[in-house]
Amino acid sequence: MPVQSVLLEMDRAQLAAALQRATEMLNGGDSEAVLDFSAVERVDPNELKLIEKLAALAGEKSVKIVLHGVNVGIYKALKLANLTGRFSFEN
Amino acid sequence: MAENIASLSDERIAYLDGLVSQARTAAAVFSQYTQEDVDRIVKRMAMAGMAQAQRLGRLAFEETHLGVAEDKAIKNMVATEFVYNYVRDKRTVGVIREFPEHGVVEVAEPIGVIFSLTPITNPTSTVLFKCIMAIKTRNAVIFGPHPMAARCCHESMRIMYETALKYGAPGGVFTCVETPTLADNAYLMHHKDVALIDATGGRGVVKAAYSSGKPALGVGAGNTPVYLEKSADLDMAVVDIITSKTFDNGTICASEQTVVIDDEVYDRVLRKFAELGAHVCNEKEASLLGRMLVDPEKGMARPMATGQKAVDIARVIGLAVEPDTKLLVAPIQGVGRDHPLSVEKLFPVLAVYRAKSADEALRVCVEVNHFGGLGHTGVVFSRNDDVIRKFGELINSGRILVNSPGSIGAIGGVYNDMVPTFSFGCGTGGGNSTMDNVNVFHYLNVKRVARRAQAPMWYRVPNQIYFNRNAVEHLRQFPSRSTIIVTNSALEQFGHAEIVRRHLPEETRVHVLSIPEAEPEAKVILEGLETLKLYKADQIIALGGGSVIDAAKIMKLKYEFPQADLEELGAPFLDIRKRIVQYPTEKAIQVRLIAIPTTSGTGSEVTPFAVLFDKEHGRKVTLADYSLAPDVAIVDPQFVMSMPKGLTADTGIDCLTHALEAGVSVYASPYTDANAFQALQMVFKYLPVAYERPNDEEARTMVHNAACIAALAFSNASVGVNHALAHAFGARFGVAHGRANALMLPHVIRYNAAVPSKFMPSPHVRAFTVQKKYAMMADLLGLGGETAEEKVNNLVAAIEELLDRLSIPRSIAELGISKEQFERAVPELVELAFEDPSWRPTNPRMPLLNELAGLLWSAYKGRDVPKATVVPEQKAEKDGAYASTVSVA
Repeated sequence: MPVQSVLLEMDRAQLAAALQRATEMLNGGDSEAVLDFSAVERVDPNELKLIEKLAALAGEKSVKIVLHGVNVGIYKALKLANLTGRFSFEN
Repeated sequence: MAENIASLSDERIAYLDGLVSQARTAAAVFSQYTQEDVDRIVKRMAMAGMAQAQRLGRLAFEETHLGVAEDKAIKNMVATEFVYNYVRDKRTVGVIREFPEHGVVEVAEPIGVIFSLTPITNPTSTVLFKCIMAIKTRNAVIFGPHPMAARCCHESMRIMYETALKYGAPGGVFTCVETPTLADNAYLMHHKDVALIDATGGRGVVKAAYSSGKPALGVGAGNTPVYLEKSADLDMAVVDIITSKTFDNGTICASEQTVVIDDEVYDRVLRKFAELGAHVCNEKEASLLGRMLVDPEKGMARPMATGQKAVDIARVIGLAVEPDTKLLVAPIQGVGRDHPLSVEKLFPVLAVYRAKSADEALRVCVEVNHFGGLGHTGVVFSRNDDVIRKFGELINSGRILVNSPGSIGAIGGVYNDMVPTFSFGCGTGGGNSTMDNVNVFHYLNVKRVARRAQAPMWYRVPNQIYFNRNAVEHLRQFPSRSTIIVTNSALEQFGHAEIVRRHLPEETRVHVLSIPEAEPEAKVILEGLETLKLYKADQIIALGGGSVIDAAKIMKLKYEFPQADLEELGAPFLDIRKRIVQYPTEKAIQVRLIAIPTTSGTGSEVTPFAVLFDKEHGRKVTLADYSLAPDVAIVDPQFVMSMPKGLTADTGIDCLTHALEAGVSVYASPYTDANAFQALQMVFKYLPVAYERPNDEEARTMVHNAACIAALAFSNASVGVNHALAHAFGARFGVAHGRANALMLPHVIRYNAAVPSKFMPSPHVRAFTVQKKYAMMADLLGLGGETAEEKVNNLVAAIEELLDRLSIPRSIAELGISKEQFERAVPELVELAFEDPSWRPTNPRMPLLNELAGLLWSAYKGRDVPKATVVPEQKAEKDGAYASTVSVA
């Protein structure tokens, strides 16, 4: 089956909404998603929870999610939340 | 504990897991915050806490019915304002402290999720305090309040949480267990995502925390002894004790429990207590208090009295007191289970003890301290510094308060400059992990970023070296009333001592001390010492080879420092700057040591080393300290012109070994390299000439100078494995030191030049450079070769050729030592070589025992390069090459 790859830019101001859209997309088809975090400086607890949900969903659907441009501060937060192993990272 | 957890329903577990998940997410997010972020939030929280201090104090009192609402309000204020004042300028994010002189930077790492248990006695203040600490350190906290103080704790947390959220803290950073149970606590204490348990409370809570297997900050109960010594300001003492013991009705565990009063002031003190509103019990009343308030089975105060007013306690137990009584003062006659009131009493009942002497008073304080109060708090009222110091030494307490109240004093920041806290660490005596006033730094993992230390090096040499023929004439410039010439009989017969005597100033009284030629024994040193004393020597001239000069160095040491213990000073060390045994520095007498070498090799005339032969144990003791170095060296070749050929060869190779080993030493520096490389070239050029034409004065002069120059190098860069092996082998088989060095030399160079199985662990080793250093030496000698490896091989070949020219045996076997004999000796030689200080930590590779054995066997089998590989024409060509690169004075 061909893999459809979708690039989603994460909006710094509306990260939660962007994460929500990514979740819906994954629910809608077998896409491989690349989430671009280049513009994101920090995540808050709500956003971290959404990322956790996204990871769970991707696991369920066996879909690969690539996080692009994640800064080290966010990377460490993901690490502390035990989430780094559930994504691929690229810069 | 496991049974408790098993009683939890699935719903309850899901609830508790939810709390932890929320806290973990908050902690993860919090890791992104800056110092400025947390400081902004903490300030607002402190303000909110201050604003609500009175209300929260009242809530705490209404819920717990313990203590005094007004005092609880004060505690809330301290927990916010005072704690904030302490933390406001403290760095707790990123780099928190820097020690540039040590190259160390401390960096904060948050802990993560903290499960915090809070007590019934100080519920709201403890929550306020811990909230501020947690935000300041970017941690998330789940509070497990005492069930009987849950509502006021929750409200305190709510105020802190909402303020923190408003100013940017991550959601979920504080949570509080609703209707907490022991099972909840047990579950959270074992939760995989809880990183730390911070248990403030009674013994049970603290024990549970420490038993969980998690990192824990458990702090707890005390039993504060007070020594009211006769020199104290009695008025102040009594006011302080009443203030403290009645503060919040005595619920602070640092408050005074037993006051031990000197006999001389006992009655006055009790009168003052009574004048200020205390009821001083008679014997019968004290007995009643003990029976009613202390559980004899448990040996603890009954909870019913905790935090209650004195008058209420008196009423309940049927004790008639004035209605405004603040405190019940009960005399006791001892400490322990037979004296109930000597326990911790978190209510306004104070035991007092009349001590007949200071010793008795301190002993009773120690008893109280050990009767449930270890590690917590002690108080002393005195104007006598000796008494205060002694109390501090005897009492095992994290807080020893002087002339101030226990409870409010221990909190810190009010009566003293201790860190403000609501958690008193009691150290190991109290079964705790810390003895500190718990503060923000206990809520951090402190990481140390340590830069590679570049230890300062040195280049130390005697400040006067006179060299070339007739350098001995310089002796005239050293005035002396009494000079001892230390030498040996052979040199005396040669007339050397007479030459020296002739050059001394006329007024000098001279005595010649002739010692045996061998390495000096303690007996020789002591005899020499007696001579120095007898003649009241102010100058020693060591005239001889290495052994004579070493003997003179040790005599000087013992003469100047009679207390010097040679056995102890010979103790092994790894780094001369960090050695355990320090050489003495307080001289009893000052004496000048002038060294005049009569061999060209050891360099003892400038080195800080001396070898003493320990006859009793059959071993050599190497002494090393710059105080041993002679004050003046006179390197005059006239004293070596008559050296026999064998001695010329052996000592010359010793000099060569010094240059080679110092050149590749871990401690080699541009300073020592200059000496080592120069000496190397001089030895290669002139040693064969001096050997073959002993009367060639230029060659003798150059080799003599080379020996001194090489010694300047190894005095500072030290030597290596070659010397260690030579010391062991030479001592065991009676082979001259230089010859023993020669037998090892080619093998050690090959060994050092190979990629090591173990690098020498030293900050001075910045790369694998030893091969390059040997290659540089080969280049300086004009030996040719393209690669470093070829150059090393050429260097080894040139050394082997030199050894052959000097008729040095090519193997240990050639010395007539049988294989069986050698095989038996090898294990001991390996041990001795490994213990030898010569190679530590300067050899360029770390020798392993089997490698040392391998080197010994290589030396036994010997070098295999055919003799006379270099024809005279080639030699001449090489001489030319030397000449092109050598700059010889």
